[in-house]
Formats: sequence, C-alpha cells, structure tokens
Amino acid sequence: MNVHLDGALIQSAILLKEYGLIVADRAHLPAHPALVGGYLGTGNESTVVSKTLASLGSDVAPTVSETGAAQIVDYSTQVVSATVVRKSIGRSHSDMLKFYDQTGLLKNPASMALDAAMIRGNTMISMVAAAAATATRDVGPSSGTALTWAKLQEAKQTLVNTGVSFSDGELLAILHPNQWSNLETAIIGTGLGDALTHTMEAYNIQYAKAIGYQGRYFGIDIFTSTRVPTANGGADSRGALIAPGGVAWAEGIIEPDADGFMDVLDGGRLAIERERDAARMSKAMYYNFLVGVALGDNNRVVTITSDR
Amino acid sequence: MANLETANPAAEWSPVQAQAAQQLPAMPPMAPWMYAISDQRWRVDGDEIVPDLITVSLEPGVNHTGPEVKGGMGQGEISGTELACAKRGLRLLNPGEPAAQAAFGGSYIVGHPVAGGRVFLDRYVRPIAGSARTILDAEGRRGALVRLRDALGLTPPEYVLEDMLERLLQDHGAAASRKEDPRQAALAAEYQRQIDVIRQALSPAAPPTPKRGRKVTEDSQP
Repeated sequence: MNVHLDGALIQSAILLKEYGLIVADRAHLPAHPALVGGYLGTGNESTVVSKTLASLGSDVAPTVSETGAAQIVDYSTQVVSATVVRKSIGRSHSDMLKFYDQTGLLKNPASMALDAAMIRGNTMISMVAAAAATATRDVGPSSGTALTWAKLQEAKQTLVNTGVSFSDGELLAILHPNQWSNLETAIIGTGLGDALTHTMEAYNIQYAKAIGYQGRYFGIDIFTSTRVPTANGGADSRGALIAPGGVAWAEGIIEPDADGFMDVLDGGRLAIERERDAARMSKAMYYNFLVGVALGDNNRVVTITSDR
Repeated sequence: MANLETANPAAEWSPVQAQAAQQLPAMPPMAPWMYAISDQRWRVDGDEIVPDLITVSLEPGVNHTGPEVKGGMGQGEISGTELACAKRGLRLLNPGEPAAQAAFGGSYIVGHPVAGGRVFLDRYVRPIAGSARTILDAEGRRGALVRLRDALGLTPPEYVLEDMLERLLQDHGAAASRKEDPRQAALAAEYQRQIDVIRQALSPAAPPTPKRGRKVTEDSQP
C-alpha cells in the first residue's frame, strides 16, 4: 500500500523489494532453522499464541506376536506459547532527512530498508537471548573465566545426551561479543590455521555484518549481541545454544491503513509509518512490528556462562 | 546625553554552562528483571554452594510478559510470567518479599540512569560512569546468596552436585593437562578447590579421628 503524496507506487515497491532481499538473506534471524522450529504462528497484540509439540517419531515399534494386539503408545506432548506485544521505535525528523527530501521523495530506500531490518533483527536477538537465558541447564567455565571451544562443544554434547536430534546448521548460538572474542583468541596458536579463523559465507552475507552473524563453526551458527544477559552479578555473560524448538516465538500481522502514511512490508510483519511535520518541512518515521518470544522446550536450550 | 561608559560598562565574560552534563554509564537501557530459583542450578562461590539465580527479563513480549505497565520503568505485565515460571518449576523471587529483603539488605535490583532510560543491575553491582563495565562486590553478593539460601531452606539435590562434580573433573583434567601454561595451572587449581567443596558436600560426616593412646588388648595382664 502506498500513499505517497506523489501518488506513485514506485517508491513503496522499491522499499518492499529492498526489505524483501534482506529478509530472504540466510542470516536473517527469524529464518534460522533453530527459530523456525519454534514458530507458533500469528496473533493480535497482547494475545497468547500457543502450540502443542508432540514427540513425533521418537518411539520404536516393538515386536508383536502373530495374533497379538499392538500396544497404544501415546505421544508425550508439551504446550509452548508466547505473548505477542507491539515493538515500536521512531526516528527523528532530522534523521529522516537522510532518507527523504523536503518534498517527501524517498532518496535512499536501500539504507532505510536496512535500518528497519536491523532494528527488527536486533530486537529479535535481544528477546531470544533473554528468553533462552532462563533455561535450567548451563555449561560454563568458572565464573570470570574465558569461554573455550571445548565448552561450546560441551553445550552441544549436552543437547545430544538429552536425546535432542539436529543436523549441521540447525543449531543457533547467541553469544556476547566478548565471549566470541575469547573463542577467537583460543584459536590463535592452536595450529588450526585458517580452518577456523573465518568462514567465507560470513563475508559473503552482506546483512550478516549488520546483525552480528559470525559464521558457522562445528555446525553451529554463531550470532553475537551486546544485549546477551549477564549472570553472577554482571561478572559473566549468559549466552545460549539453541536447538530447533528451544525458543518459541509468535508474531502479528499489521493491516495497512488507507488513512495512514505507511508501508506494510514482508506480508504485514513490519509497518513503516511516516508523520509529516510541516513546521520543520521534514518527516518522522516509526517502525512497528508485533512479536513475542518465550522459552520453548527447556531440554533444547543450554546456556553458556563465561567471562563478560 | 547618556554616558556611554556607564551605560555600557565593560565586563568580563565567561561562557555560562546552565547545567553540567551528567556522566552516565555507557550501557543501553534495559527492562527490569526478577531473579528465579531453580533447584537444578547451583554453583560454587568461594567455599559455599549457592543458588545460581536465573535472570527472568520482564521486557514486554519476552517470557510471557505483557504490554508495558505505567510507572514500571519499562516493566511489562507479569502475571503471565509468573504462571510460566510456576509451570516450569521456577520460584520467582519478588524483590520485595521479606527473605529477599533480609538477604540482600533491600531490593536486589537497582535501576541506574543511562541515556534513553535506565539499566537494572544487581544490588552488589556498581556501574562505572562513561563505561559499559561494572564493578562487582563479590564477597557481599556471596554473603547475600548464602543468607538467601539459608532463609529459604534451599539445598542442592545430590544428583545436581554429582553432575557438577563430573563436569568439574573433566574441566580439571583438561586444564591440568596444559599446566605448563600459568593460566591453565591457575584454572586447574581453582577447579580442584571447587571439586573439594562439592566432595565435602556430598560425603557424609567423617568419623572422628581416633586418639593416640596405649594399646589395650583383651589378653593384657594388669
């Protein structure tokens, strides 16, 4: 929907396409397999969206005699849910001059789309990290001690020991930048060479740099965020390793308003609404989206506590 | 005609600073949070085994927290959060409840002003103006956790201690194998100390040490 004063649909179409390219990026957090596995669906603002998880395929069929009756084995189920709320942020009139000129013409749709996508991505990372930090299983060196690759592998092993199945690329780790720095430091002098110093895919993903995607190591996609919660009175960071279904989340769909100066992107998942200030001959911008995140299956998350 | 000098006397001038800028910690604002207690999360702090408190964010939209409430400084509606924690077996610790107040000497959560709002830190954590780092009063916090543990009668289950012991033994082995590195040697010593604390907690009370004395047998003759 476009209600630009010039009446043309071109600007909105460009914005939509630019934003669409970003959300189609492999590093776009909501599209990661670990979070897709916990997607609950859509709901309105301030509603609880629920889903029942069932232990599909987890049983082995026993042998039954020729005239014997098969035994009924019930699914073990778990209801996971999340509460959807509105997240909103405004950009000042003066900032919007970077994207719009005084006549209201959108000058830089690509940068504006990146700004909106980064805000939504960073908000998701922050909420996922906060929700995952409430899991009851933790691995970590002693308080105040740097994180090591062995501890990251121990977190993965903890998931395996609980019977969680996953494949390469389905695990998501959210770490504090200092935790990631400790891991990089641990590589130095180990003789592993370039195998672990960088991954080409991280460099190739433009959007990755914007939201802290560091690459895939040992089958784990690692994101970093300064909003990873603290632990032990702030002495440590509490990152998390998340398998599919470990974190549950839901979103809301925003319908376009014919009376509003707005663009609704990504099927209604993000609304960009403009407010013109005639006195300043410029516009303010508001990004609105609906999202809720909660811990899903506790057995599918392991927190990683190490020096901040 | 007015005297120009008296009408416009020369005066010294210096810039007026109406209000000095406040030096704030360089941290992003955050929503309040509450501690939750799980009987599966414990850690060794000094010579004590204390609860490893879980931080439950009260940011709207996270952990079933509802929309923001007025006057809550960023806190969302927490009734859903309380239900979700109870369902998972977590005991949400209200900062106003008597046991928490007595253990921490007041509310365990303190809001500090930052640019754009407030950052909420533990009572024993102090932010540094102009920096994102904090200073922790480790001994004070340890004492608070011990008082909290004793006031609530919390004890770690044996299987949890055994799991902690197993992990520490693995970590100790890895650190001890590289003890030529001073940092690994120090880490190995720290792990050994924690292992000793947990073993002490797991083992039953040791029998009293027998006193040295003259050996007396049944066949002894006066």
